[in-house]
Amino acid sequence: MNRAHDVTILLVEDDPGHGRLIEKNLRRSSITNDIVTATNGQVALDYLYGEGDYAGNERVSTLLALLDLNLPVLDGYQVLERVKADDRTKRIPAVVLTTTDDPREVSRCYDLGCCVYVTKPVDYPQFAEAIRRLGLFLSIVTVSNGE
Amino acid sequence: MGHQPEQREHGPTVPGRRPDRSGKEQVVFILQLALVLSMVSAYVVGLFLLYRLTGSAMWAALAIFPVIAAAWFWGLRPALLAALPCCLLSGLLVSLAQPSQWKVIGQALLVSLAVCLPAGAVVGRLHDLGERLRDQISERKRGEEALRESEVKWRTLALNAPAVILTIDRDGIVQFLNRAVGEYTPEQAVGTSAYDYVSPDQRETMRRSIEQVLETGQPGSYEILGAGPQGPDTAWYETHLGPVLYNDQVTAVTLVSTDITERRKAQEQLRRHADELAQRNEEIKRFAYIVSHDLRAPLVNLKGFSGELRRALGVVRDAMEVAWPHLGTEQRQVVTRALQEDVPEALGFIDASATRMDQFIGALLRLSRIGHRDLSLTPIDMNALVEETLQTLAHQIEEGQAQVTVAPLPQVVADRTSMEQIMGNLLSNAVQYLDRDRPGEVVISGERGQEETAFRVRDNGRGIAEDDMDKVFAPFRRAARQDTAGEGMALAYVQALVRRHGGRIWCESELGVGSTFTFTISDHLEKGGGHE
Repeated sequence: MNRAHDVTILLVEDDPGHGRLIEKNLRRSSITNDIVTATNGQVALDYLYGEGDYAGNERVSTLLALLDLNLPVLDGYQVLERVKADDRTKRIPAVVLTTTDDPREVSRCYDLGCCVYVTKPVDYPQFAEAIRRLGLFLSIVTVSNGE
Repeated sequence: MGHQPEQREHGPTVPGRRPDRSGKEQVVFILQLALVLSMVSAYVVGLFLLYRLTGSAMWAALAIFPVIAAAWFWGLRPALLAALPCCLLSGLLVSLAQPSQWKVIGQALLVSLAVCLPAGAVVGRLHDLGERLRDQISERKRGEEALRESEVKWRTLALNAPAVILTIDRDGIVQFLNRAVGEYTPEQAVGTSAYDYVSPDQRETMRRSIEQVLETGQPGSYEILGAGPQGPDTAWYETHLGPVLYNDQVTAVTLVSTDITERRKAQEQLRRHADELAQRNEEIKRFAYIVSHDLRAPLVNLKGFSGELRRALGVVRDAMEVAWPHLGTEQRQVVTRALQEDVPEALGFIDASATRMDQFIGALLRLSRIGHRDLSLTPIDMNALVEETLQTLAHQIEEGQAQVTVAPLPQVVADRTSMEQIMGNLLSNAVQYLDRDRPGEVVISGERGQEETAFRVRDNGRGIAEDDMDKVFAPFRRAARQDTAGEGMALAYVQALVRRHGGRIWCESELGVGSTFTFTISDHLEKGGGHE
């Protein structure tokens, strides 16, 4: 059992602007956790498995992933698939946070094992509100330590 | 041309065709009559004179000559009819020569009868037999002629037919071929196996079809690759097989083959074009979809960071409250204008443009999704659907004082939501663009066609100028006076929905007179599939 504020948040987002806006709004909803940003799917997987640029780093076991779908190199679906297929990472809660609200993409993500699907609204007050609520939600989530 | 039936009776003759008695025959008959009558006279005179000279009643036998003549010319019955008066004549003549000599008169009668009857019977019978034989011969001749005529007729038909016609026996040997096939002439082909003229891998198909015709006596058909003008295995034939039945036995099979090479080529090409088009369509759909999404991401930043700037502006404004007293009058004016007017105005434009852009993208996204949407096809009572739609428009209809007429509409099998949207948009447009200067009229009608069902919405509204007609179904284009709200996508959606139902939509309109929108729904819709 881990307390929510011990959890590291892995933010997988290729658009640095989006990343900043998400981080800002999470902070505003009093999220104090560490936030690690990966700019594409491959970097995200490298971080999760301690490979590539993260080789040799100690693997963080208590994690929560915020995942965009349209990503370069490996897209969000591929990351989700790999994470859920691997015993080391399958218990990591994955929150999909994307601009798409196509019903088929939503179902596909849930099929692949995502926990929550949040659409990024284009309208900023709505966007800020959505992230604030997500922050509130994340602050009460309990994650497995991966063992 | 295969077997001809042996039975003459069934030959194609024309029975009972006896020529009318012609002038020539009448003359012959009169001459025969004259000859018979003159023989009667000769017999009368001869008998009379010879009896006077000899006194023998045997001369009554002379009656045989006119009777034989009658029998020779006319047959048995006229001969027997002639024999009777001749015998009586014999008796009469003898009685004239020697009245009351009853014995001699009786002798004359008996001799006449004894000679005339058998002779008339035999000769008459012979005549009749000859006559019948002649009839039979001429009838046979006529039959043969008719048969030849028929043969020429059928042969000409077969030779001039645009198809390849052949007859094969039970073993597949060609008995008849109407025209050259590729390099093979009929002379070469007759006596060889029909299987030699088709592509080896097609022979099994052909054999199965032919065997089925031989077994069942039912016609059949197949499409096959065979010899053509460009050599062996270069032409496609559509072949219809028919049994040749003789005494309830299939003795041969007729094959009528049409060269469908061009047709198949055209079909093949059509299929390729359709595939290409479908692929192109899919690409366009995917393109629209991807573009819509990728365009959205920067907008999130535009709106997000302008929001952040606005927020920062608030912080600066609050800070300025403290700094205010330290500023000069001119500085205050400049700073006030920047903080109160310039920055909020700039942020307002950035925000409004991003919002507008987002709306466009949203509209495009919806349009592209229509093409993907799965249809749930159900039979729809269109009258009820239109009635429901009109109820939602009741307020506008009343406001525009419009008279709405709904003709009995045919039922369709379609996606209910789509039909509601199509009808809803068309009717709302019709009501919205009515001319306020005259009483509005909207007429909804429909009819079932052969392949599709058509619906029509006619109004007497403002109409559309000819120059604007091509913009009617284009996205984001709004023709005519813009005193009504809308993003200009309604008819683009309607068109996409109609196409999704394998249909078409078009508009006929005259400025100041009114518009008619007609759309069709295909009768051959497959669930989930589509024509777009």
